Amino acid sequence: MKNQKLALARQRFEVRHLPVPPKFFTYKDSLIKVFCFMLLMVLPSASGTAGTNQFLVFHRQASRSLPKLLLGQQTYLPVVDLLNFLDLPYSESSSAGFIQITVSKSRLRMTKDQAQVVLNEKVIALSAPVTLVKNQWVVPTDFISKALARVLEQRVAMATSGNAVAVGEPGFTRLTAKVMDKDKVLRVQASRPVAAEVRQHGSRVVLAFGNTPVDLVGLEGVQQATWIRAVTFDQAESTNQIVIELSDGVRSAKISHLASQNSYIVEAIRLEGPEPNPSAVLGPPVIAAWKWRHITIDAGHGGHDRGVAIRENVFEKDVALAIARKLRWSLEKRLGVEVVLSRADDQARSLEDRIVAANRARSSLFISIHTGNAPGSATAHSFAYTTRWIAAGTSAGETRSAQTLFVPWWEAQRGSLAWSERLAECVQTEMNRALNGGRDLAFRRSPIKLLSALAMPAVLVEIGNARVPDFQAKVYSEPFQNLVAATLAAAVEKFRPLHERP
Amino acid sequence: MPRHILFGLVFLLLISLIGVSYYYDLQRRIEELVRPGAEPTPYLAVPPSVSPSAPLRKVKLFFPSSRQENLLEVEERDIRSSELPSEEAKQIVAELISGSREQRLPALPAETRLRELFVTQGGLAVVDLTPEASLHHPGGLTMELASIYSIVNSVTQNVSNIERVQILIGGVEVETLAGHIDLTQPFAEDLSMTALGGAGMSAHEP
Repeated sequence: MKNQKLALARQRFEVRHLPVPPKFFTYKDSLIKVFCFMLLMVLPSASGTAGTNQFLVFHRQASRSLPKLLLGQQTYLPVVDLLNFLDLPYSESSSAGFIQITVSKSRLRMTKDQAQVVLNEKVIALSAPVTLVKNQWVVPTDFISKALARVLEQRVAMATSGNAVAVGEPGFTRLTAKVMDKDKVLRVQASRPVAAEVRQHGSRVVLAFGNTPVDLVGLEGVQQATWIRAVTFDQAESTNQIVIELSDGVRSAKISHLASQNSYIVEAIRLEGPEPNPSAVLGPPVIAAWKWRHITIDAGHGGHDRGVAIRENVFEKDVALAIARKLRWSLEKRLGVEVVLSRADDQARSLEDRIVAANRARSSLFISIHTGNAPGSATAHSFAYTTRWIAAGTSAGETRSAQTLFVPWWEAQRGSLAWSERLAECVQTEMNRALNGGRDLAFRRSPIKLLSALAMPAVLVEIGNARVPDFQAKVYSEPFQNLVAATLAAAVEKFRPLHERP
Repeated sequence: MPRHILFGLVFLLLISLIGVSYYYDLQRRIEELVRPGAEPTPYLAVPPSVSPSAPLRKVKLFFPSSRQENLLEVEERDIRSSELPSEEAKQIVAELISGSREQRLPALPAETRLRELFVTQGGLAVVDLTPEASLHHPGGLTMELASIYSIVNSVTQNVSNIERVQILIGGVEVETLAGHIDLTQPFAEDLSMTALGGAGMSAHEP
């Protein structure tokens, strides 16, 4: 009996403490672990190889750089950014895994993970599959030449470097840099008339071509030139230029533009030579200083600063950002000018940050977008504002003379106030016509902190009145926001010929 | 029971008692910290030092109109007169924060308190409001301007020694009250938004 109990207890013990027998799934588990490990090894290397190189697209006197993604050996481009810049309509669904581009009667359809494009039922093979990276559609670069060029009614020209494309006439202007005299002269020859902004910083001579599509196709004799260290062609974000690095024995260079021969002559001035005339060194300015660089659109508030609560879950910061994005789109489309948003998403930025960014970038124009909030009014009129100053010790509204030689940075707007008022007039006139029911309302002046320190024509726009139910209902609608964006873009279009001196 | 176990149990009991008493003491102290202190005088963090028997005087307060945009309307109130301009100004700002009695719009959010108000020799009144003035502000450029000039005009119109007003939030100089109007400079009286000035803010229009 005792023996039986002991045997039973031992059996229970053994059942409870049996070593786990080797099973098939442990081997499978190991395989999975190895696979996961390999995946972990591969994934960072895939993202690590994603370079930060840029691909430049020229279209209608504007340029846009797109980030190039290197996945394995293949270079990819974000196709939606490209289509937006080229103003091509598309429809896409990440979840369904397709993107379709419609150009007049042609349809380009791509399916995720397939190395092909279907053009009106005809299949075109691509060098690599179309895919989604971080929820963003990316295509191999040969998509442009193999597929997009077939449906566009405009000329599509690729640069020899493969890093740029020009859509529309006249395509790329071909440049050839040739050393004419190994001790002295370099000639940059263009295939057609082209304007460059000539700059010289120490030992660097820069020929900047702005938004003109140029392609350096030839470089001759630089290795033999004693006075040149290197000639490089930068074609990336905000740079489209030839950079000539001078050697140590060269003090500076004289640059001449032979317009009749479409060429620039760069001539070395050595240290032992006579002091050059500075104006002769730089040559005549080819691009006037007043040519518009870019426009800054400021979406008011952001982040924790929600601005006016328009209705439940709709705040001023969101409306301002939506309108700012649409205005950027309208301005780039209508004016072909680069537009910068002071905040591209829902982030808090101090007024000082916004001011510094616009001033440092030497923006040509600044428009801040806000919504109105006037509980005492039953109307939802929109107004443009310029700044005014309340000088300490003087009565309100009295401003200091604008003729002062130096102004403190926080009053930088003094130098541009007259232009700001012209801009405000243009904006108010357009808003009266499109948003204020044809009423003859004047723009307003207020001591606005943001505008006071901006060194360029700057206005703040207050759209509607958040306390009017009709405005609350429509403010988040696409048609209304498109109307506001189109109205402001029309005002800028009117203002441009008054201000810009191309 | 062995003696050493008895000592051990007594020791544990003592430790437990100390722990429990410390816990309750800590809880009481935290409650004291969290519990709001005595309610300050409404709308004033520091009560004005005026005699309750001091004679009353009428003052004109400016509140944003509920009928028209960019208009400040006058409402009369009684305050205790004082030889010190700051003490009168404190009462004026407290009355402004308390809101209109005639259905006008609030000049400042009701949660606001006046932290401090003092007057410098140059006739500059420094009005230090709690952060609620900014955090609970309804927003919008016109309401912001109305809030500022409600304070500035109410103080400068009623206290003879005050010519300009500098507004601080939470004891520090801030860029703006609600994202638009520059608060870094002192404001002088501006009646253009009032019926006294005649034209409302449109007086600034070109």
